[in-house]
Amino acid sequence: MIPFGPQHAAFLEPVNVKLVLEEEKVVGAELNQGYNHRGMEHALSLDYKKSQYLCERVCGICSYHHSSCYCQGMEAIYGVEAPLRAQLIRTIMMECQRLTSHLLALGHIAEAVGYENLFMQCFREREFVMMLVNRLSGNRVHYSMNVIGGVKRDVGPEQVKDVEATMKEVRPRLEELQRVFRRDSTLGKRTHGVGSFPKPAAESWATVGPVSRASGIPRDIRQDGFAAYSEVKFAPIVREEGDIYARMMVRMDECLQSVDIIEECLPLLPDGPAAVQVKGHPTGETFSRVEAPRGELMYYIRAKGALALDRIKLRTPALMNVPALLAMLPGCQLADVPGIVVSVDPCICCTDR
Amino acid sequence: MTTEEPQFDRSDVIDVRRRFKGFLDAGSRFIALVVRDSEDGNFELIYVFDQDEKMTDFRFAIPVDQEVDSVADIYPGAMTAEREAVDLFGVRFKGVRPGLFLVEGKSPPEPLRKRQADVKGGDVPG
Repeated sequence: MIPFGPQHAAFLEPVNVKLVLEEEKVVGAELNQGYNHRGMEHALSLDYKKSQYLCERVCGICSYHHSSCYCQGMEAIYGVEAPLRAQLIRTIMMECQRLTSHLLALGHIAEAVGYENLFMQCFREREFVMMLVNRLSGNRVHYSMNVIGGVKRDVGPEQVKDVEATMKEVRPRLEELQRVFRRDSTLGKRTHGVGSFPKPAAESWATVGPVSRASGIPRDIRQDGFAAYSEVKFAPIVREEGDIYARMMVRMDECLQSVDIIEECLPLLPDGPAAVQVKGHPTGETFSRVEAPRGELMYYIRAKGALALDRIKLRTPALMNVPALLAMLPGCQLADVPGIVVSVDPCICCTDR
Repeated sequence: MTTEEPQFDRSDVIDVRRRFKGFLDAGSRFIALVVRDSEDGNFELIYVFDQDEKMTDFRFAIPVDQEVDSVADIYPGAMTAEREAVDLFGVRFKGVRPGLFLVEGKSPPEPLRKRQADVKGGDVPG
C-alpha cells in the first residue's frame, strides 16, 4: 500500500488516496479527506448579509458561482427577482469563470501526463480571461460583484467592447488548444481508455458536471435556465467514453461554448438597473443551484427572520466527484493515478469547506 | 407521554431504504442529504433528489439518539453525505463510521449542532 497525498508533486491540494498495489497495478483505493475543513457552513450561517461575500471564500476557482447560487437562493426567499441586466452580467461572469476553471483543469491534466509546454499554454490563454475579469470586477479571484437582488458593479459600454475584443482574441487560441488536445498522439496514449468510468457507475456515484457528461449523462443545470441561461441557446456537451480523454475534451469543448454564450449575452444587455433593493430579515426555505465549472452546486438555505440563518448547507460538485475516484482507480497503472485524480478536477476547498 | 413531546413517524425512518430506492427506481438522481436541528431539538433529515430536472425531497424528523438505515450500500454516492452528517451533527447511521472530516479526540465533536438557546432565538449563535 502506498499513499498518494496529502502532499504530492502531481497534486498540490491536501487529499490522501491510499493505493493498494499488485506490482504496478492498482487493485484498491481508500480516500481520506478533511485536511482543510474550515467549518464554512457554520460561518455562513452567522450573518446572511456578510455571507454574500464570505461564500465566495469557499473556493478560489468557482467563487462567483458560489455567490451567484447564494444570492439566487436568498432572492427566492425574499421573493424578488434580480433584473435581467443583472442576470446577464451574472451569466457572463460565470462563463468567464468557467473558462478560467476549465483552462486550469486542462493545464493540470497536461502537466500530470508530462506535457509541461501544454500546461503553460493553457495558463497563458487563461491569463487573458483573468485580466478581463480583473478589469470588469476589480478582482482576479473573488469578484465580489454579487449582492442579494442583483449585482453591485455594472458593466458599462466600454467594458462590453472589452469583453467582445477579449473573446475575439481568445477564441482562435482556444481552437488551437482544442486541436492539440484532440490530436496529440502522446496525450492520446496517456488518456484514451484510462480511468474508465462508465455511465452506470456515474449514475450510482451521483457524479455531476463534466465528469458525468464525459460518461454519457446529458445533464447540465444551465438548461434549467437559472440566471439568464434561458435567453441563450446551447446544448450540453456529452461524450460516451468515460475516460480521462473524454473528461478533458468535455472541458475543452465547454471552453468554446462559454465564448459562444458570452458573445450571445452581450447584445442582450438591456438598459436599466442592475439590482433591486431588499429590506428586512427574510423567513423561508429554499434550494438553489447553479452549474459551476465542476458541476451542479447546490445551496440549501433556511432563514428564520433574523440576521443569523437557521441552516445553510452547501453541496459542492467536488463532494460528489472526488469519492468517485474509488471507482476509477482500481485496475489502472500506478503511473496513471495522477492523471486520473486530476481529471475529476478535484477541488479540496469545495470538498472540505 | 405528554402533549409537548414531539411525535415521530418511525415507519418513515425504518422505510428510508425503500423510499430512497423508490426515488432511484423512478429515475431520480440523489443530490444531497441535509441535516438540521429542528426547533424541538431533534434532527430533521432531508434527502434531496433531481427528478425530471426538478428538485424534490423526502424528509422526516428523528430524535437525536435514533439510528437511521444507511443507503450507502445501494447507492455509493450517498456515502460521503452520510459520513458528513455523522461527523458534523452526530447523526447515527447503521454501519457508518465517523472520521471523514474530523479527527476523533482532536476536532470539536458535532460542530454544527446548536444549543437549544440558539435554535429558539437570538441573532448570532456561537
